[in-house]
Amino acid sequence: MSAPESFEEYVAGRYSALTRTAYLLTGHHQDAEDLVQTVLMKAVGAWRRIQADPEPYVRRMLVNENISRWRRHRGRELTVAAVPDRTLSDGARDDRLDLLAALRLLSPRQRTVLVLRYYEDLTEAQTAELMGTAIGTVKSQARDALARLRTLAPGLDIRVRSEVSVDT
Amino acid sequence: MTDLRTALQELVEKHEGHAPPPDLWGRGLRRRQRAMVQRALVAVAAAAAAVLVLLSVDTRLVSPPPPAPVDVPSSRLHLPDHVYRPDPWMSDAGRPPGPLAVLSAAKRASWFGTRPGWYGVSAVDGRYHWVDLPLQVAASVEPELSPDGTKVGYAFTGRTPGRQFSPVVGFAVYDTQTGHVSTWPVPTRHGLAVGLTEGGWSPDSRWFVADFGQTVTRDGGNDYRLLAFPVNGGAAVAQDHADYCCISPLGRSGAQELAWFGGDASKRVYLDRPGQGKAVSFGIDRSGEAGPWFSPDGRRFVFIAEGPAGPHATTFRLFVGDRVYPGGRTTTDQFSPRLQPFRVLGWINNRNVAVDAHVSGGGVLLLHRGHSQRRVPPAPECRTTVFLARDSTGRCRPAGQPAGPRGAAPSGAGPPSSRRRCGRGAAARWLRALVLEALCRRLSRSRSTSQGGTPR
Repeated sequence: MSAPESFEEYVAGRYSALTRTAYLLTGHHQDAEDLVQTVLMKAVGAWRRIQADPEPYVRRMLVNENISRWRRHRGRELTVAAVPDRTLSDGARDDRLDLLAALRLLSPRQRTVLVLRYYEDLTEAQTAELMGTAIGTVKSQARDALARLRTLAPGLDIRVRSEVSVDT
Repeated sequence: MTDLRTALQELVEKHEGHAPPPDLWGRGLRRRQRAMVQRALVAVAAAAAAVLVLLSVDTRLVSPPPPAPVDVPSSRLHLPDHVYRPDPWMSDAGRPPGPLAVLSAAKRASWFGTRPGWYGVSAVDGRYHWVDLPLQVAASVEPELSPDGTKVGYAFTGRTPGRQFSPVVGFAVYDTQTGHVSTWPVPTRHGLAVGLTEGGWSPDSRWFVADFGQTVTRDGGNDYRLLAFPVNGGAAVAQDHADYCCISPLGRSGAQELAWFGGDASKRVYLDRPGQGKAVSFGIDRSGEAGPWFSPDGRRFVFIAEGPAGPHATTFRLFVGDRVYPGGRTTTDQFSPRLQPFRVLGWINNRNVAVDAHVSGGGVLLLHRGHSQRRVPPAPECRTTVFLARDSTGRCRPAGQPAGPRGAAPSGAGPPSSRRRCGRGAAARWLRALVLEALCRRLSRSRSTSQGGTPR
C-alpha cells in the first residue's frame, strides 16, 4: 500500500525540523533520528484522523515518546556530577559543548520545557497543554531548569528573553 | 551574555539532518499490524485467565454441591487403616458426609502462607476434609472429636494485641455436619491458665466437658473447676469434687459417666453423669496422675501414676485396678516395670488396652492383656497413628493391626493423590499465582519508578 501524498509531503517538509527538536530533547544525533522515525511510524496508524493538522499530534508524540524511552533506558544512562573537561580552543564551540553537556544532565521534563519554551517559542499554556501538565508546573520546571543550567555551565552566562528585557 | 534561544539555535545548526528514510509508511503499517495482533492475544489470554480465576475462586460453579447431612446407619461407617497428613493445598470445598472417624491437625496452605489447620477423615467414604473451626482455637488445648464423630469440642482464646499467646476465655462445640457452633464464655479476670485446661466428651456425645484452672490468689493459688456443656444448648453444669482432675472419655460401660481423680492427694476416683449432680466415688491406694480410663464393661480401669523413683527423676508407670462399690477402696497393680507410658489410647475390648509407650529405647504401640504385653510396631508407611477411633461397636483399633471386613476402608478413600493436583483446580491455582506474581511485580516496579529508583 503506497503512502498518501499528504504523509509524504509532511515528512519531506518537517523531517529536518523534527530531528533538530529531537536532537535537543535527546542530546544525541542517533537517538534523535530513532525518536523521529518511531513517532512518524506511530503516526501512520492515526494518519487518517490527523492528516488535516498533524503537527500538534506529532509534537505531543515526540515529547511523550522521548520521556517513555528515557524511562525504559535510564538504567543505561550515565549521569555525572560535573561537565567533563575538554581541550578545545574555539570559544564558540566550547559554549555549544557546554550547553549540550548541561542539557544532557537535566531531567527529560526539564529539558523538554526548555526546548519547547525557548527553542520552539511556545507559550507556557501551549507547553503545558503539550506536556499534559499544569501551567504552574511548567513555570517551576523552567525556573529549576534554568537555575540548574547556570550551575552546570557557569561560563555561559545564560539569559532568557524576559530576563534580558528586565535588565535593560 | 547569551540568549538561550540563540544558543539553542546555534546548537542545532551544526546538527546534520539526514534525509527521511524510505518506506516510513510501510514500516508504520507493519508496526500497527503487529501491535493489533499482540493486543488481541493479550486480550484473549486475560479473558481466559479471568474465567479460570473466577471458576477456581468459587468452586461451587464447577463442583457438585456438598451432600446434605444425613443420618448414616452405623453399618455404613468405617475406620481408616491409616491416617495420612493431607496435602496443604487440599480443596476447601464441601463438608464431610456423615460422622468423622478422625480429627487431626495439619498445615494448611494459601497464597498468603501456611497456617495451622484441622482436618477430618469421613467415616462414610474415607475422604479428607478441612474442618473450619470458628473463633480463635486455643493452641494449648487440643480439639476433641466427639465419640459419635459429629462434633468437635475445643477452647477458644480472646484477642490480645501484641501478645503471642492469648488467654483461653471459653469453650465451643462445632457441629461438623451443619456448621453450627455453640459457645460458652467463661468469665475470668485473667483468662484460664494455659496447661491446666483440658477437654473431653461424655460417652454419649451429649456433653462436652472441660477441666480448667485459673489463678485466684496472690500466692499463685489456683481454682480448679470441671464444667459440663450440653451440646443441645443450655447453661454449663459444674461437677462437684473436681478440685483437680484429668478428663478422659470412659469406655463404653453402659452408664453415661465421666470419671476423674479427686479428693485428698487425688486418691479417689469419682464417677458422675453430667447434670445429675450425684457423683459417686471410691478410694485407690496411690495418687492418680492421668486417667482413669474404664474398660467397656466398666469393671476395670487403668491410669498413670508415679512409679518407683529413678536415679535422676520421677518415673511414671501404668496401673490397673478394679471398680468397687461407692465408698470402698481398691488396690491397684503395676504393669511391666520397663514400661513408661506416654498416654493410654483406649480400650480395645474388656481385656486389651492400647498404650503409647516407651520400652527399651524405642516408642512402640503396646497391647496389654492382663499383665502381659505384646508389641505392635506401627506400619512403616503410616505417618500418623490412628488412635481413639471407634467403629460402630465402640471398640478401639490400634494402628498397624489389619482391618477386618467391617473396618476396611471403601475404595477411593485416602488422602488426595498427586493426580488430583494436576487437574483443572491445579491449573487454575497456577494461573492465579502467575497473575498475582505479575501484579506484584508491576506494583513494585511502579513503586520504584515513583520513588525514582531504577526499574528491574
